[in-house]
Amino acid sequence: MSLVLHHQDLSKLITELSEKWPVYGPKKERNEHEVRLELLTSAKNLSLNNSSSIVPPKKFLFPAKEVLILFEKNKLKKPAQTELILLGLNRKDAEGLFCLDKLMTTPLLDDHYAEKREKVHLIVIDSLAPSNNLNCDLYLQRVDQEHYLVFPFGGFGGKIAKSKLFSHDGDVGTISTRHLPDNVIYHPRLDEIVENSRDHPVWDRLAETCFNCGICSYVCPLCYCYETEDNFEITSNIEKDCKGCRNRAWDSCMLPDFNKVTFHNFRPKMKDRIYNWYYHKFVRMPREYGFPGCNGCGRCITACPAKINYREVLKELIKDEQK
Amino acid sequence: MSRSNTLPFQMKVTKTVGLSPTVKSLKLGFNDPKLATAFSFEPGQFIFLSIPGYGDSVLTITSAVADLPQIEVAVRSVGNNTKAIHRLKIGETVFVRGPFGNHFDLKKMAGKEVIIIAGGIGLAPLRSLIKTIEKEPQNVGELKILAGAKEPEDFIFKSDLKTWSDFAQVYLTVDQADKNWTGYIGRVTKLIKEAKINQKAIAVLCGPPVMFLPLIKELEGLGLKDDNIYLMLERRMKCGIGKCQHCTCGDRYVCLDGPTFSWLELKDNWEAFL
Repeated sequence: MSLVLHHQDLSKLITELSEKWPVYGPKKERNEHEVRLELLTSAKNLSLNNSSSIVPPKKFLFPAKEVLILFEKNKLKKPAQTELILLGLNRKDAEGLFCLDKLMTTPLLDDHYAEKREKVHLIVIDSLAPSNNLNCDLYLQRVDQEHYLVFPFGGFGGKIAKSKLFSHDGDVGTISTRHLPDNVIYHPRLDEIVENSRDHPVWDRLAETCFNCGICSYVCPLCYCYETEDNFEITSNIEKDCKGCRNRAWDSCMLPDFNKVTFHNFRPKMKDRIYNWYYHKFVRMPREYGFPGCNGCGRCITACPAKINYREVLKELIKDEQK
Repeated sequence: MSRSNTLPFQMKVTKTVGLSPTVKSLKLGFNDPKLATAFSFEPGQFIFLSIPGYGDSVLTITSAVADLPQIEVAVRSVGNNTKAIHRLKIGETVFVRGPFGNHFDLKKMAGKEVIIIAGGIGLAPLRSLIKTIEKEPQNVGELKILAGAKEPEDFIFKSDLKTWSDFAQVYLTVDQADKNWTGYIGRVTKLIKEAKINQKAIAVLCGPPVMFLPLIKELEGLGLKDDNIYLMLERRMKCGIGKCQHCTCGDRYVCLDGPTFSWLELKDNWEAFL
């Protein structure tokens, strides 16, 4: 007997959950092609079907800008974090968060991320079966038009699964195994190929088209570099009554000043910054963490104003390596 | 000890000393007595020092472990943060995270000739090592300190340099001498010949990036092994724990794998001295 949710009850589940926690999920509201992760109170405008939001779900754990510390005179404190549910992520995005969790908490722990992560609960909805690379609380597998198979994980998932909306239904057991084309470029020696490509003409060519805008980093579910900056309120004596906060904000290694120190810029050339972006994702990260810094979501391709497609770049490197 | 990478702990300024026209040394004590006993570091490690409203500055501890529970840092006034640090008065509070990074291999230096080569403010991060050797000079073979500055007044730790000549050979050079200058004139590289360096010596270098390659060439020419030449790199780090990516340098993180690297590690690194 499997635990099942009927599709018609999904909306009720969202309403039920939203009475206790803020629930965010992919919504197609403003126009047909824009999916955004926004507050939900029902399944209205909920966009499942594997469409991906413009900004990845990392924004709930590692937002574009967030307060790290609040300070007043000489007292510091950490801001309180809100508990929330992120519902309706597809498996790919949930796997992206699984990787981000690893990046931010191992080998050394980013304590701010960890505090936030504890308060964010994930409910994944996908037609694929749950994989091993998930840190979610509840997994709803859409097995046919009418049903979701329900997989609760951990204490929070178990608590939600107690809702009367879920039932034990013996009839649902056949799992459709829809095969998704895997968009991750795979090559057993991809790290070596990218590592050895520093003199490849592709980097010069990309440097001519890339705007160095950093959008590929901002929309990437696995980019996590950041900048910190103090903000303070203007008072009559700032040095004495300083009140404000330390923010952390997304940065991008594509930006010209990313590697600047006081009297020197260690990566002044656009070409080197572009190479570094690929090096981090396809060389450093696989060696450091065992997975590439790309889960094939394609957001960077959609967002790039210069129409740079990293898959084409990698294919070219692989092809030329074989020559 | 606070291991938070985001929330700093409090320290109080207990002493300030002007070292040169642009560099000031700060002595810091712990506000929390428990932390004062728990805090430890190794020579070569760095901290983030901040004044709320200004932000973090990355500074290598310039004092020795034996000077705990106080630590010292040297700050050159260049931007808003460091200018604010220069305005700090005794008794004022600062916020600190750390220590981070690797440290000098003192065991490896045991019995060997140690060469300290510093350009300008590059002497600051090496002072912790010198002061550690000062406590027990018999632990290393001979200590030779080669330091360069633009002008005589730009030397930092001038009084230390005098004391250090009691247990070390100190060679000083300036780019531009004044009428009272009796030391050498020219680049630090010039001092290498003067110091008569043993080919089994261990050299530790810190200074502006342009200084490294000519020095390494000289040292290699004398027969020093690549893994006996150490360099300290500077990057604008934000986290200290390998997350923010600002300090990546080829295949290394300066905050985790460094700030001190052997030349053997950096030889093939394409970004160390860009």
